[in-house]
Amino acid sequence: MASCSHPAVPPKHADLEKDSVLQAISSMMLKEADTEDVISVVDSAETAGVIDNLHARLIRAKAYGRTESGFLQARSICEELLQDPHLSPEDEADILEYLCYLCVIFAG
Amino acid sequence: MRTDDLGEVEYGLRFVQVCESLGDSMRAVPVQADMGSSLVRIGRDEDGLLKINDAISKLDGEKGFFYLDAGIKTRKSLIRTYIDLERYLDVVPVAQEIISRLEDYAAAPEAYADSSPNLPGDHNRPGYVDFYTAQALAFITYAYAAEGMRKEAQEYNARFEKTRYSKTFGGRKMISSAWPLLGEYDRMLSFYDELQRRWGADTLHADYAIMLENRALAAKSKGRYREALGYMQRYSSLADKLNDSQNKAMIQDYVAKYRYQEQKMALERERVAVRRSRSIALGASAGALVCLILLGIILQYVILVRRKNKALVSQISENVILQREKVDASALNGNPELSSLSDAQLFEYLRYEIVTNNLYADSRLDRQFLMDRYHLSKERIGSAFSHGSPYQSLAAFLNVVRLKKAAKMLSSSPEMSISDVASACGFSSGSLFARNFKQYFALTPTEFRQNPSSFKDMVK
Repeated sequence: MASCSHPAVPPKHADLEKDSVLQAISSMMLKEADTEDVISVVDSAETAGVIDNLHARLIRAKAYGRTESGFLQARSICEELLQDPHLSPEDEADILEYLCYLCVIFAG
Repeated sequence: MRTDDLGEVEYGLRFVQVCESLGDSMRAVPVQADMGSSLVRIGRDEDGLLKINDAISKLDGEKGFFYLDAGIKTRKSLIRTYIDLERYLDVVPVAQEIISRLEDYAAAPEAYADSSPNLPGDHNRPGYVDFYTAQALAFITYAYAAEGMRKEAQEYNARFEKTRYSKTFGGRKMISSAWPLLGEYDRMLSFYDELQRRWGADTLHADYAIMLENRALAAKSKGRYREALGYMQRYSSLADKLNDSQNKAMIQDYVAKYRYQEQKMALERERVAVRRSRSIALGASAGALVCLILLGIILQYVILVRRKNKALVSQISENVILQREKVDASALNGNPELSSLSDAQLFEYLRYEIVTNNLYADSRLDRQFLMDRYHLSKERIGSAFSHGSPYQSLAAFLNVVRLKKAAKMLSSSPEMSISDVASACGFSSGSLFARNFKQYFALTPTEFRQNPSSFKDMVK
């Protein structure tokens, strides 16, 4: 995830760490790494507090959703996330967009 | 009909609403196009195609990689929809447009640079361009093959084979639907073996059903009728599952939900439009009311001034008539004993003399002139004018007589200049005439001459 700070201002340490982790996960998914490996990295990042629970669950869903066998699991995680009463509109948009993507991919 | 179309419609509608609430409706455009495809699959062809084409127009109107990418994906939705509707020849120009846009992008990628997270770097760009080009070529091959235009289909198939994706699993999946139509059953069967290894057991998926149908066709073409029958039975069973009554009920439910959402959005748009037109109408009414009030005030003022003028004119006329009645007729016609006349009679006599003999036309006419001509004392003349007439003095009387004569002359003799009129009526100078005229008639001699009819009562 790109930092929104001014280029002249170095990003906070936590943000930098979060960006690195997210980039690493994204890269793993692009390289079609095993779902279990991706999930393991996400779990560690969540335990270390680098990413929050909501985002960790969404990334897990995206990891599962890369394969047809994981489609139902990915969809079910996203549907659970949508029930969260504290969901921000931005997060809701991200989840819905991903759900639409899943439906398109597996509808044809 | 595929089960996930329902999810697409449901989540798509919700996503559009969330994007609108976030003020980012463009983000929802590609999803709207996918919803259009789903709508077509649930039997709402016109609504669906309208939604997809509307999304393409919106995306084509914007610059940058995000919109290029979304436009390509949206065109793919349109192509799949045309294939579902068996409108194969409509597929060709849409796929060709994808290829043309990718060529533009490859030629000048800097023109598309934006902050899109999917923007490929220099290294990945050829892969991006080749992937979607291969997919477009596969679509065209399939469309021509399905339409029975074998020559064109082979030509595009050959172009597809030259792409780097022709040998990959994903690439072969793209083109595999065209193989049975081109009679390449062995190739198709070999690919399906691979597909089945990857997918495992039967699945509730339309592509799997297509595969079974194609396997049946292939087996039949080779004379393996028992095998073909087996595939057809499996195909038929899966097709039934994909079209079962429960799905149909769900479709109706989602169609109803979709219609409700659409109506809600249309009502909201209508409400906004009504509020806007009400505001405009209210503003226009207020403006018109103010204009009417102003017009009324002006009209009232004009009427009031005219009434005052008329009252003044009739008062003057009445006074003159009254004064005339008081004069002894003999004083006017014979050679009267002036000293025995009352002030009013004497005034009337002098008025008659001054007017009928045109004495007023002499600018030198004054009290002394009258004293000498009629053998009257200074006091007697003064008293005749101050007590026997509505005028304060001889000078005031002469001024009114001269002005009225001048007014008549201005209207009856348009060829005379203003200064000639002034001189002919006994004014010693043009400026004195102009000043007194303006004071008496409230307008200049020139203005009076332009519209004398409005003042005819005043000059009698």
